[in-house]
Formats: sequence, structure tokens, C-alpha cells
Amino acid sequence: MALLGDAVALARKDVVAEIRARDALPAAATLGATGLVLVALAVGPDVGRMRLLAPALVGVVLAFATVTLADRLDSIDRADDALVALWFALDDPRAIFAGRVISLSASLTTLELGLWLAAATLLDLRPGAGALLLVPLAVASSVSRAAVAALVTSLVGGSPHRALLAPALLLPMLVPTLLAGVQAASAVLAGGQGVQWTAVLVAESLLFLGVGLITYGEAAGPA
Amino acid sequence: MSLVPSQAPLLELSRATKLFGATVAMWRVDLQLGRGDGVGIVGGNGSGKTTLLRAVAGALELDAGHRNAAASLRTALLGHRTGLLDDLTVGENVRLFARGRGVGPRETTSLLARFRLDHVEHARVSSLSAGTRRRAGLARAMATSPDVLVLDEPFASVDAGHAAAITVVLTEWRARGGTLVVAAHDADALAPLCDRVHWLTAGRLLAPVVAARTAGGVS
Repeated sequence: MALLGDAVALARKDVVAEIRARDALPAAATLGATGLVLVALAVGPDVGRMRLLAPALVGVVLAFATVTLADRLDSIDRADDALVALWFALDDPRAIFAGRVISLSASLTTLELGLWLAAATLLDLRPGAGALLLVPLAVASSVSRAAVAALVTSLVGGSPHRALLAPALLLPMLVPTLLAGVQAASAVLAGGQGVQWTAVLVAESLLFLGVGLITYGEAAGPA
Repeated sequence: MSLVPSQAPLLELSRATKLFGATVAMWRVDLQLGRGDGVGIVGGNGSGKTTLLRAVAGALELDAGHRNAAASLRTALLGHRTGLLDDLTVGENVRLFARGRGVGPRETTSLLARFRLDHVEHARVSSLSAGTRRRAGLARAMATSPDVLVLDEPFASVDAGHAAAITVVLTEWRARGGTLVVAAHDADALAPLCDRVHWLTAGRLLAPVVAARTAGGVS
């Protein structure tokens, strides 16, 4: 339980830092909204095509936003060697990974729901009662993205080539989440429930969380 | 006063070596630390002080040699960087790091007062002067209740009054059994804190000399 308590404290630290700095989340939201507007302009007044494209567009925007958010939070921890200090201060350094997953999940869920709201407005989506199904879908896909991103940034964050390595490694690893997320969202927007694809997302989340918790202490460290 | 620990060492570096490309940062360093030891490391710029301190703390992968320490040994490192989070306040930082070791709010408040940081407890770290930031970094390191405290230039940018306060806190902490390893350019600054002082040159650790604590210098 110490791990969970420490993880929550570290996640709170990330959220407080983000609220005060107002940096990564507004940048990601601006990127997402701009992307939606550009696609709406490019596709033109074809509502059918826009509805068809919306899940993929939201998914791709979220993948890039994940890279931005994860890199920003990792940079905060590394700026003055706080990551090394945290490593020594914690009984179980895996709390650093778990805390990052929690804070990233919260940010990404907020962003995804905001993007769906923007997409509904800009792309004329009408999910109806199915809109509520987008909430568990957003949570499941965000946890999955967050776990992958927390692990990858912990591995490459200390590299002088992080600007190249982070997206190059992270984006391909986000593809399974992207595919399942797009399929689930498409099913919901078509009036279905997308339960099977949401279950796939939950399974991916658990898998990535498990891999992260098992490997974090070995793969990443202060040395 | 002996130059090596009389009891079983708490932490030991054995023929520890680190290279950065063709540069020898640390060469076959042997160092033993016992409980309550105060060890000073003195050297010029580029002598390898930071590398040695990171090796002592366990924050460096050695190219050769060994670092032996009990798995339960708690180490805290204050390097050139303070290990603080800019967007949090001083109090939030110290409490966050103390939390992992079960150090309560009363102790952290006391720690802030002893480092004369109580008046900036609610100030964001990003707004602090270099010297205040340094003291906050020290409080952060001590809040983790370490067995071994590793400090790189703890008095850098700190005025004389605050340096004296730091010396008092660290001396009392050592008297309670804390082990201190501290590096500086100036041996005299280390004398009140250390029993022995090693000179470091080109990554090589020379035999220690006894520090004369009361004389304000190193004999």
C-alpha cells in the first residue's frame, strides 16, 4: 500500500505542477482543436465523411498529445535532478512509474473527453445516448497510453537524443491502443456499444501496467 | 583518531573506476565509510569530485570496481543540482520527499526552521535565490532521513550566516550517527564537518589527512 500512497502523492505533484505551469495540457488541447478544424476544412461539408474520420482523427491527435504530455512531465522531474532525488527518497521507486501513469491518465482522459466535445461541435457528430459510453472508453484508452508513455519516457528521458527517441519509440507502441480505441469509438458513434473493443483496451492497459511495474526498477534507475 | 572506520563499513567503494570516453573521471578509488563518519573530498575543477560523490550515492554505474552497501542503506545526494521541483513550494517539496520515509509534518516544519526556510515555506522554488535554493535542497535531502548524506559544495552561493547554520545542523546530525560525505574546493570549509579529508586529483583519491575541527583548518 505504500507504493499506492506514494504513487498518488507523486501524481498529485504532477497535477499541481501542470495546473500552475499551464503548459502541456493547453498545448495538447490547442494541437487537437487545430487538427479538428483543419480536417473539417479539408474534408469539406460532407458530414458522412467527417463522422467516419472523427475516431481516427481523435486517436491520432491523442497519440501525439501523449508524446507531448509525457515528455513535459518527465522533463519537469529531470530539470534539477529531482528524479534521482525521488529515486533515493522512495522505498519502492516503482511509485514513480505508477504515479506518472495516474497523472498522465487523468490528463489524457480530460483531453480525450474535451476532444470528443470539440469533435461533436466541429464535425457535427451526434452520438446521442452513446456519448456516455465514450467516458469509460476514454478512461481505458488513456490508462493504456499512459502506461506505455511512462515506461518509454523513463527509458529515453535521460538520453541526449530524447527528442528523436521518444516519438520514434512511443508512437509505434501506441498503435495497438490507437486501433482498439478507433474501433471502439466507431462502434459507439454508429449506435453500438463497442464493448469488445473496450475490453481489448482494458486488457492492453493491464498488460502495459504489469510490464511497467515489473520492469521499471530494472530498466530505469538513477545510475 | 583513526583514518579508516574501526567498525564494519556501512558503505564501501572498492577499486571504483569511471571513464567518460578517454577522460578518467575516477580511477581505482577505495573508500570505506562507517556510521557517524565525516569524510571530506577536496579537489579542483574537473578533479572528479562529482563523479566520486555520485558513485558513493549509488547514482552512477561503475565501469570497474564495486560499491558495496546494505540494500536497506538510505542515501541522499545533493549534487550541483538541488533535486527540487520548480513548480512546487519549498514546503511541498520537503513534505513530498519526507513522505516516502514516513517523516511527519512536525519534523518537516522543524527542519525548515533549522535551515531558516520557514519564511519561504510557501514560496515556489522557481522564485528562490541560488543560496536559498541550496538550503532548500539540503532540507529536501535531510527530510528523507538518510543514513548517508552526500553533499557536493553545500555552501555554494550560501552566505556566511546561513553557512554557519547549515554547519550546526549537519554537525548535530552526525553526532546522532549520520554519515556525511562532502566535497568542496576549499578544505577549510570542510574542517568543522569532517574527521578526515581526502584530496582528489585527476580522479585519484589520495590518502586522507585528519581534519582539525576546532582549528578552522585542515592539518
